[in-house]
Amino acid sequence: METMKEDAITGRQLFVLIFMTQLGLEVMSLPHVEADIAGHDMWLSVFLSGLCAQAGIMLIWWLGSRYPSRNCFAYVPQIVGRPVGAFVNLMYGCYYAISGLMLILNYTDVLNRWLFVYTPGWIITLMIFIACGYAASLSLRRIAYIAQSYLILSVIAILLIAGCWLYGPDVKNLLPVLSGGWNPVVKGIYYAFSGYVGYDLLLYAFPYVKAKSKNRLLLIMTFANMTAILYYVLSCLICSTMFSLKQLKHIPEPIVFILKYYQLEVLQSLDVMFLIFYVFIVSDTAYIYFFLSAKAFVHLRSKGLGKHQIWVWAMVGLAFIGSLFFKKRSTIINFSDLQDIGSVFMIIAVPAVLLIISGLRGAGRNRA
Amino acid sequence: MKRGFAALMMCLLLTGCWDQLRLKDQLFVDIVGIDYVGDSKKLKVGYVISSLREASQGGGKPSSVYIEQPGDSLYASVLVANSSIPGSLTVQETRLYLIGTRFAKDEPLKYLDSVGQFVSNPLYASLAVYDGDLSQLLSKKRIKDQTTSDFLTGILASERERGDIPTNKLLRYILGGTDYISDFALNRFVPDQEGARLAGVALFHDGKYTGMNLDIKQTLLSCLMAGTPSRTQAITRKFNGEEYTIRIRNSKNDYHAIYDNKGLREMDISLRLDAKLIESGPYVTHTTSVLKKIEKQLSEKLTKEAEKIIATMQKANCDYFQLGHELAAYHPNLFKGMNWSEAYPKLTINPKIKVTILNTGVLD
Repeated sequence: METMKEDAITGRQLFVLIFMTQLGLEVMSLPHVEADIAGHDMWLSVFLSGLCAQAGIMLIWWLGSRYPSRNCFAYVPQIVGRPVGAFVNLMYGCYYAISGLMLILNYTDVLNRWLFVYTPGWIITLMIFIACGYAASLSLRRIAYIAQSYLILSVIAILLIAGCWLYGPDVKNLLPVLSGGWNPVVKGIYYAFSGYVGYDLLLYAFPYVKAKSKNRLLLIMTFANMTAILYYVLSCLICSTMFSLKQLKHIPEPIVFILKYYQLEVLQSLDVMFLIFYVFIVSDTAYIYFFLSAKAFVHLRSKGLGKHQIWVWAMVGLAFIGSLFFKKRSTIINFSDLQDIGSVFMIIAVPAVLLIISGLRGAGRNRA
Repeated sequence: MKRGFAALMMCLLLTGCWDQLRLKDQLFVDIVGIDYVGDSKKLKVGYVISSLREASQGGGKPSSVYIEQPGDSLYASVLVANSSIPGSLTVQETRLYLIGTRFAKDEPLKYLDSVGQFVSNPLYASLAVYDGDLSQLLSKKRIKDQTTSDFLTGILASERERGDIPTNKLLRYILGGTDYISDFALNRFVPDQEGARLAGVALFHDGKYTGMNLDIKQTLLSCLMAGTPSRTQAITRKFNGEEYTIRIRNSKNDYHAIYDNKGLREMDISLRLDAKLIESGPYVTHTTSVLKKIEKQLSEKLTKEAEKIIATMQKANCDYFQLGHELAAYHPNLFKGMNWSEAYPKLTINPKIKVTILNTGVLD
């Protein structure tokens, strides 16, 4: 079946893809969310959450290395049988489409509050959806090319954020460490996890990576995850040393505020620039979600169901229509919370169950 | 085809015009002045709007307009002010928020929080106190041949650049920025024959102006004690009937808590200043022993001044050095049992300033 063929990607491309998918709006909002939960120990929560993501990566890698020649959506029916397998793929398809929708909605919401106060939200959403839909209909290798060219922007972003340290951080804000005990930190791990979602791209990408060995593939994944951890921990550390805890609780996007510290002669409002070019980092994650969503739907039938491009545009269209129903910010936030639960279920629980079943079947087969 | 369609759509949609700003409609507010109306609790907010006149002929003449509107909140006043003048007020360029003393003595930060809502507002604007009639100052067209806003913000900017005064960026204070210990010091302007001059800092306790101040010399020393980096600040002192001037090349401050099992006994503030000696009375050869003597006398003199500064701060109950936060961060168990705002005024605080003369400039 032609639609199910895929070009191979290199290890370096995998690294960029995973890292860029993990980066999302959470860079902006994580310090705010964590301020309420883990307080000034947020960096610790974020770090530990990254380690949890690492465990999730091992899980998917393990599962993938049992079926090295096929992607997850293709081998799921083999593990759990055809009807259940189709159902799992359907769940993945919906989950990724909703993830893409929520990400774009959240970003539009940020833009609408910060920058384009008068522009109707649906215009912004539509533009991002069109761009994402176009990118998502490409092949994995082409998507990787796009991600590679956006990589520099994420580097600029972190340099801009780190540069704020020139304006006098207060290390006292981080001390004493663990003043409230481990409880808030452990609770914060869950909330920080949404930042690391995206490594699940490996579910699909595993068989298409030209890595020397599967151990090397795991190494690349680990390296990408570590880079994401570094990114998040750094931005949390900067936010909590530059702002008081109360300010962090008040300000939903502390990073935008922090960029207002910059006072340059030639350039005004770096925060505005940051918000605008952040569209690349957000859309990069969003189109990979739509890409995965379409792939999951294509694999509803073992010999392929419909064309990838058609599924992409169908899901993008549906997601856009869905986006019109979100008017209030609180609705978006509540729905995002639900989606976070969904993430943990879809990228940790489901692969774990699949691994167990596949292990049991394998053991059974060996005995027989 | 598909690519072309996507590109066309993008071009059509990117030219959206909802959020465009017309430059000629913008009234750039340079200074916002806030005080109470008379004895009431109604806000009186003044806006110094800068514009370039005759800009079409090149160069242009900077000029400013002052408008003032009362209101129950900052936002209410902005709305009234907006309808009182054609165009729309924008705080994109606001560089200074100047507050009156009566307003400062109440709860200034509570009102200022709404500044965070101004989307386009670069929050690097500074916050300062004016001890005089705000309307009178801000309605002046020019001070010392500069527009009022250039004059006031210019003084702050250059003094800040030299490291002589605290930074006082608005963003540090609003939205609960001072929630740990809401004690701070804001730069204070006082009326002068021509306009206004900087006269040190106003001390705040619990977010309210205490009415006590430090003068300009004390301000520099307290900045150094609080950890302002050295920027060749000059310190001039007179003793033995002679003037001595040093320029700070390097400074290091440190806080130290001394405690026993009964609790906190005292806190030490140490400040090490490495300096260049600029003038030291009539010219003598600076032998090692001469320099040592100057170092010792200068250190003693500055330590005495530091004691006086701390006494003023304790009297005002203003923990400008954030010793409470220091204690909470490094000795949390010690801090937990204390009521800081009660303990602080009675606390023994020992400053120790040590001057080291690195060189004597280009002359020996």
